[in-house]
Amino acid sequence: MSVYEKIGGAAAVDAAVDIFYRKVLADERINEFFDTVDMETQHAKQKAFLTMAFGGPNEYTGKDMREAHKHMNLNEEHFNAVAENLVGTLKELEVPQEYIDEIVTIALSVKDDVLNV
Amino acid sequence: MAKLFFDGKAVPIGPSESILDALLRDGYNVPYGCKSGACQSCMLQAQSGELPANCQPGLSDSLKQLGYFLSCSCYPKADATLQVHSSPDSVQKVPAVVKEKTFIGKNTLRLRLRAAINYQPGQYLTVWKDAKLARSYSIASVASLQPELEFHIKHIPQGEFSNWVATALQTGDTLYLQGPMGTCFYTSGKPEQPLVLAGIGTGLAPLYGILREALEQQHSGEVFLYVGAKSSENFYYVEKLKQLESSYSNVQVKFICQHTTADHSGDYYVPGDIYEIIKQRHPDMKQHKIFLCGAESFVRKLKKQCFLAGANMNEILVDTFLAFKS
Ligand code: HEM
Ligand code: FES
Repeated sequence: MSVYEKIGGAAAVDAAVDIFYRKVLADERINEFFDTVDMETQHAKQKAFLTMAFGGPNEYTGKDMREAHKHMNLNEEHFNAVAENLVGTLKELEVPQEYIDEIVTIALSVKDDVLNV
Repeated sequence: MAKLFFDGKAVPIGPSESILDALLRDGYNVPYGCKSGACQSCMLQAQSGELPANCQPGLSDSLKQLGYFLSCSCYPKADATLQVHSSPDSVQKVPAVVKEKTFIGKNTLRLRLRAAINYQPGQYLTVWKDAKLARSYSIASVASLQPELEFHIKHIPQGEFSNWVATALQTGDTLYLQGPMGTCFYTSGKPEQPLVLAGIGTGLAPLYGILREALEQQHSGEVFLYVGAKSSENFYYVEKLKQLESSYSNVQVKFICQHTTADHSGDYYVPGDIYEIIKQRHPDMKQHKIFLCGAESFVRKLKKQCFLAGANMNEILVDTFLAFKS
């Protein structure tokens, strides 16, 4: 069973998305990337992000991740900020630490693609 | 076996097949992403027929009420007949007869029309003058309270449409309506939830409809209405709202403006900044349902503010007035 299924699948994404997006918008290190005109669309993209980070079904390849993040010139600090907000969200939802560790591993596995290194 | 129709055409669907899979198999180009009910890219609207349980996860109450569902997660019941639309907004035009046209504020016209249209107060309609000229306006009326549809139109002398309404349109004339559209309306089911309604200018139109509808449905939680304007001379419906406030103990109305003209001073108008006032009065919006109506910059700024104050994204409904680009 994937960690996505263990923490409750789409329902877990639903529970997490508002908390996560709120953290990201309030985080001075990275909010400029997310503070775009259309909050609704960004909100949906956060769902895509969380679904992927939770190891859920996704249609994205490493190449897609490179493309999606290329123009942003992201660095280590940006990545860590997103990871911290992700972990903070999971803690707030009282997700067991072993699952959080699994999710962090998934996030780290796409780090090079996201940072385009 | 379930019967499925997509834009009027029958689509075969297997007993354990999702609507998305049935449409894709039949050659329709329906967008999708996760196929697991998370990304909402496969959302469609059912025009008629009973939707099965669990096909609307994460959707707002208003989307649910309008029959929107996630096609990847929708497995119709064996005896169901479902009519599904690809583009819910492409509906026919309906004639409407002008019953009344009055100035209700300095630059604000009230138009009342008679038309056979089912709507929720707060939704919007596109109003066509002829085959070429149209604008969208939000609905201020409640069908159970008055037979006519009501719009509040800001009169812009250089505006092609509003100036035509102000100067040429007559009682008895026929216009054409398309819609309704939009998800900014009251849904029953949480009568105790605190409501915050905020709008600038004729953003009051949908809010007025939403407020009246909430009261008609016996909403018992507190209802806060904030109406903003640059100058106090732009306010309208002040007496009507004062009356509602005194008839319903759970309703509070504040008119907020940057400038108060001398003859409009008095304690009813609050000078100041609508964002600050809402922030101070509602530091925690976790439980609230929020309706925001007005220009794009206003809606966007306040939506973010409310979301950061803890409001659930699905509980923030907006009606954005887009500036007409010629
Ligand atoms: C844990 C690693 C990450 C994963 C798994 C991830 C995943 C995703 C996914 C799936 C999308 C949606 C692509 C689309 O459908 O358009 C996306 C978009 C986006 N990501 Fe990431 N992301 C990660 C890290 C980051 C970081 C560190 C930042 C910036 C601080 C970031 C900023 C964005 C932005 C701004 C978008 C939206 C792009 C747009 O609007 O088109 N992401 N990400
Ligand atoms: S495809 Fe993602 S919700 Fe249906």
